[in-house]
Amino acid sequence: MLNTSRNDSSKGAMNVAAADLPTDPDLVAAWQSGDELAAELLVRRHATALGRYLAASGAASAEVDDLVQDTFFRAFRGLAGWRGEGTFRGWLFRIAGNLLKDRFRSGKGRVFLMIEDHDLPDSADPAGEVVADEVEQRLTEGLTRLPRLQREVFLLRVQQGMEYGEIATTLDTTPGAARVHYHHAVKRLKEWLG
Amino acid sequence: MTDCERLRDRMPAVAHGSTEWGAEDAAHLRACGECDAEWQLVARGAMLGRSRVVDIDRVARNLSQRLRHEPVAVPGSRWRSARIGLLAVAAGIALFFLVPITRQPGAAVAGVSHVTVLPELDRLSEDQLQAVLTELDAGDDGLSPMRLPRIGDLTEHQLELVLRELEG
Repeated sequence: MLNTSRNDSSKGAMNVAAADLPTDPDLVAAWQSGDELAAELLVRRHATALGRYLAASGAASAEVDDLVQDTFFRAFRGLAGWRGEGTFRGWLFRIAGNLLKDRFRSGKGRVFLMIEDHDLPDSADPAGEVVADEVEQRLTEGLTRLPRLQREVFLLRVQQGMEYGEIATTLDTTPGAARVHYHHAVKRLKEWLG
Repeated sequence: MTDCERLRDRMPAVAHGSTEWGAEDAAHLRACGECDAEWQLVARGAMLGRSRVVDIDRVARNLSQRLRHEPVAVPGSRWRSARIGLLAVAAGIALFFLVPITRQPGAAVAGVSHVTVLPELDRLSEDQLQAVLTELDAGDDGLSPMRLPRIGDLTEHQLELVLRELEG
């Protein structure tokens, strides 16, 4: 079992040097062996990126944290469906995309972002008081107008920095198809912003 | 691959800091409006949601609670239950139409009372019985299995009685 104990400062995964950080598959295996801290490490590693992805995909601001939590819950409950194919990160983004799609279908998500409503300052979060960049708002609105696959491919490539191969595995498509979706997304967004 | 395509392919990597533009690339971006517009888009796209803050402690804490306490759902169990239920109902309906032939009259339920004439047939003489059978073969109210009511012929009330009978 991977040692992820908080109390063992010499060996705990929370305290090891970056080069010695356990990989995602290591942490998944540790969690499956009963190490609960491994799940927390995976959350700390991927939650922020997932939150950014969900927010840019049109998730209602107030629901992002819950969606992140649901994503991890489903991921851990459905690890048998992952089987190490693709990256754990890709698996998470796949689940997050499906969750968001379900939310939109059930009417709980936000299909179109209104510029006035997007990223309103949160009084509980001083950083949120910074006025959001107008171009970013336009871009986010443009993203919500794209077909789902184009939006997901664009975000996974540009926001998350994935290569086409990883995107293809994540979205269950081919690298070539992902490249085409990306091309179309960029073309439309350029026109939208132009 | 053209210079434009090569440059555009590298844009996400440059935006994420894993590589950077060389002098030639920078010159191309200054000269090519299309590439420059795409670079602006990609650079902004890479920053999207950067101010978005997830309450990681809360997510981790709640997730841990849920993983401990929420039962593991068995995939497909709902469908399996539904299939078993449907099979049970189908089997019950089939039995319902076959078994009453041997039941006492008092055990019959509405909709199939005509099959309860069978015990009376036991008291008929050979001739009378033959006459009844002849009449049934030719008549409109026979006991042929093909004439027995089907599930689709039952009213809502009769269906409910069937289900009650099946559930005991």
